[in-house]
Amino acid sequence: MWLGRRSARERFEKEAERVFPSVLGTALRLTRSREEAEDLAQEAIVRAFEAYDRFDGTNFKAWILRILTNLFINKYRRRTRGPQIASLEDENVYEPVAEEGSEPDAQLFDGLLSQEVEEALGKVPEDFRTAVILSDIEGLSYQEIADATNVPVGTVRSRLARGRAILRRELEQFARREGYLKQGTQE
Amino acid sequence: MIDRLDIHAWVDGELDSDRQKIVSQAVEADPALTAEYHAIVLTKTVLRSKCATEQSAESWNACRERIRRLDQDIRIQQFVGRYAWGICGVFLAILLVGAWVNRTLGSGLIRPGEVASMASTLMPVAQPRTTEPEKMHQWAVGTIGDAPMNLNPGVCQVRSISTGYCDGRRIIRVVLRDAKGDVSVWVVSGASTIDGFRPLPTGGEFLYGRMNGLPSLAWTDNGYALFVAGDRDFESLRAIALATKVR
Repeated sequence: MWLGRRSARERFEKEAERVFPSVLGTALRLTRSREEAEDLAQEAIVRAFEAYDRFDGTNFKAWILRILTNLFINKYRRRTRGPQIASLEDENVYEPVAEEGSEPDAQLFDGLLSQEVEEALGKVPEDFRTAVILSDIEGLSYQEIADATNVPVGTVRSRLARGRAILRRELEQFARREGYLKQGTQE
Repeated sequence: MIDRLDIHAWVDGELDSDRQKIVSQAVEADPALTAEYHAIVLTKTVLRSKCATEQSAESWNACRERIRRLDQDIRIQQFVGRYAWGICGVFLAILLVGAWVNRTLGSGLIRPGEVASMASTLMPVAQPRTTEPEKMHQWAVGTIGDAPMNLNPGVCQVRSISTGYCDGRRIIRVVLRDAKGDVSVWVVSGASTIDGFRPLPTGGEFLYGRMNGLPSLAWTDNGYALFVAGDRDFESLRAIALATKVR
C-alpha cells in the first residue's frame, strides 16, 4: 500500500513539475501579484494532489488549471486588484478585434516588450482575461475553458472575442505611446 | 453572412471541417472579415510569443515539500485507519504476555521491601477470650494452617496473628513475644527465592538483611518465604528462627 502511494506521489510530482511554469504563470496573470500567485499556485498543486486519485488521466495541465481557476474564482478574486466585473450585456456585445477597413500590421507589435504585453493583458477585465489566458497562452480548448470557469461554451466564445478586442486596443495604445507604431500607419 | 465569433473559433481550431470551409470562404470574400481574421491571429501570436513561462525553482521546491508532508500525513492516517484494530490487538497481546510472564517467571521472587509494603493489606485475626497458653497455642496453630512454621510456646508466646492476600499471595504475620520483646514472623506463599538478603557469615540455612529497617533472618520452605524480624541482634533472631523452622 505504502509503495503504491509513494509511486503515485512520484508520478504526480513528475507531471506537476512539468506544468508548474504554466500554473505559476496563469496564477500570476490572474492575481497580478507575485506573492498571491505563488500561494495560489502552491495551493492548486496541493489540492490537485489530494484529488489525484480522481483525475481521469486525459489532460493533466487542463485539469490542474481548472483547479487553479476555480480556486482563484472562489478564494482569491475578492482580493485582486484591477478591472474585474464585466456585465452580461458587455459580454454579449461583439467588438471587432480589427478596426473597420484596416488590415493589422504584423510589425505593429514587434517592438513591444513582454512586460508591456503583460501590462496590457492586466488591463483586460478579469472574466475576459481568464478566457484569453487559458486559450491563447495555455492552449486550452473551449470546452476545457468552460469547465474551468463554470460557464457555457457560448460564453467562453464571446468572452474570448471581447477579451481579444480589448487587449488589441490596449496593445495599440501602448505601441502608439511608446512610439512603436510605424510612421504613417493608420489605426 | 457568418457569425464573427466563428472567425475566433476557426483561429482556435474549434470548427469542424464543413463550418471551417464556410467561414474561410466568407473571410476571403469580405475585406473587413479578412482584417478581423488577421487581427485575431496577430493578437494570439503576440500573446504566445511575448508571454514567457514563469520559472521558479524555489516556489516549486516549496510546493514539493508541501506535497511530501501531506503525503506522509495521508499515509500515516491510512495506516492507522486501516490497522487500528490490529495495533490495539498487538498492544493488548503485549500486555497479556507481559502479565503472564511476570506471573509465571517472576512470581517465585520476593523482596523484603515488598513484604513490608504488604502490611497494609493484613487484617488481624480475632483472638480467643482466654489467657490460657494451651488454648492460645491451639488457636494459633489452627490459624496458620499449613504454613511451614513451628509455634514453640516454650520459646515465645503468640501475641497476635494477621492474615491477608497481596498479588495473589497469602501472607501471615505472627507477632511473638519472649523475654527480650516482640518479633514478627512473616510467612509469604508462592515465593521460592529471596532477593536482597545474604547468607549469614557464620554459615547455616538462614539469610540475613534488613526489612523495614529491622534486622531480619529469612529462609524458604516448600514454596513459602519466611522472615523473622525484630529489634534485636542476629544471634537472638537466629534462636527464634531455629525454633520456628520446620525440621
